[in-house]
Amino acid sequence: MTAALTLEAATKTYDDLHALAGLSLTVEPGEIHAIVGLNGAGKTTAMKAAVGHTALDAGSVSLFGVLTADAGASEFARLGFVIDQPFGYPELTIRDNIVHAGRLRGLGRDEAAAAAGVWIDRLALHPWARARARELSLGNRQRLGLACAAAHEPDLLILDEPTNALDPAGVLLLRDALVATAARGAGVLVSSHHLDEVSRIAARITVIHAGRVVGTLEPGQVDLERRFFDVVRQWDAEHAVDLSPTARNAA
Amino acid sequence: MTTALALTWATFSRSLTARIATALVAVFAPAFAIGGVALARSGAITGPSAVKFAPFATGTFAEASTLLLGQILTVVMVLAAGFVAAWLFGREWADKTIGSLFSLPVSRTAIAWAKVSITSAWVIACVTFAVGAAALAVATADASHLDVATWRSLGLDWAAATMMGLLGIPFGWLAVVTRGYLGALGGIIGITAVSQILASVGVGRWVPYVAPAVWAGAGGDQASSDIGAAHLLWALAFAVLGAWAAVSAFARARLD
Repeated sequence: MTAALTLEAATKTYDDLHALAGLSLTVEPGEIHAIVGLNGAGKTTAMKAAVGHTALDAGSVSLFGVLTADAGASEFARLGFVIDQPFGYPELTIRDNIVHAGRLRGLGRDEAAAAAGVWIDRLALHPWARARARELSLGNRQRLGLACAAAHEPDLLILDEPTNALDPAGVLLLRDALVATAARGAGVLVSSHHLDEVSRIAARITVIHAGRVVGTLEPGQVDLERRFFDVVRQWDAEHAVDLSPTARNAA
Repeated sequence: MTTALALTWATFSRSLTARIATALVAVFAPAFAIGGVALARSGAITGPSAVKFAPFATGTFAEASTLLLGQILTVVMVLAAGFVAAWLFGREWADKTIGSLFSLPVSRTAIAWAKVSITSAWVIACVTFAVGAAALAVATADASHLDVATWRSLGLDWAAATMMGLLGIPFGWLAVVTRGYLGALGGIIGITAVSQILASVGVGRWVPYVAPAVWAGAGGDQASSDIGAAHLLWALAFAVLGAWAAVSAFARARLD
């Protein structure tokens, strides 16, 4: 089966900061793959490389088996993502934002309108459906961003720290949406600092550190935070000599 | 392109920038032109301002109105269209919506051309409305002089103002390369100030932001007649090149 997303030996340097140092990972159809790591570990940079926000210095990114350099409308129509900032024009209503996001991802006008209704229901956005995005709380803007990224039912969903502003109700809604997305066969790549949360939904948890994959965690394990730090500290201990000061900063 | 146009129109039509710019062009410009001429002829203006308004106190009301309209519209259009283009491109960074426009079936090239198309259509619509409103006012105030010469002057106003409006689009490029609209706003103010100084003394025929304004009479009759087709075509070509540069920069932008 072709992976929904493949990052192969991805390398990215900003001046002398090694944001990605040969990172490789895949997201298979039907799985939720969580990546965890400290701030600056390379999670967001990897996601940004996957969607073209940033160009790699070396390595490759493939969407559905097609190198992103060769990817076109048919591959991009199967992709949804929220990285850094959720989609949402402040002057448009929630409903209009979702409709336009759906249309940008290839839905027809009627399909997009129907999808907007479905996702307003699914993420309990009814009270604000006619409100402009600028009037929303950060948590509701995050819900809106998820709706915009997922309204076209993508085959690959990439979410960078999607729960960081959500209230407990929002977290539950997001969890249900991600599980449903994977259940219909889509691949989901999600980054998070909430290890317990990802442990509940992820099929795979990959630890990113110093711009590369340094280990995995078993979903459902107890005391996941301690295990996470064990992996990171072990890698640091084994590679202390290799790390330049700038690389250590990146980590 | 339809999807990109729909999105651009949805955001543009709800934008405060667009509404203010539309009012500035469609209401302020013809009102100030007609009102300015009426004021110049009323004898109410005294002191240094009287000297500035003197050219509009002579000739027919229609002649003076079309002359002042052209001078106002050419300045206002580059400012207003520049603000609109700067907002349309720069807001994607200012509002952090640019990230969501990557890896879409609708390319960023199409989205950028939609911004250029909406701005161009808005320029033509606003200038047409402003010139039409002025023509109506002239017809009301001085119907006997709404002759071929007046229509020719109004046509010149329309062409020069449209050209200056289209010259606002290249500021979209400045917004893209400076990742926001503030840099572009600085550029608009700077270029407009320099251009107006050059136009007022009738020099700078090969400067794109000067030629249409001088053609409309900003530097006097002699300077206006010195503007040829080559100067105007160069100004138009500059607008097209600037629009292409804005589209190209927007399509190639990265978020490193």
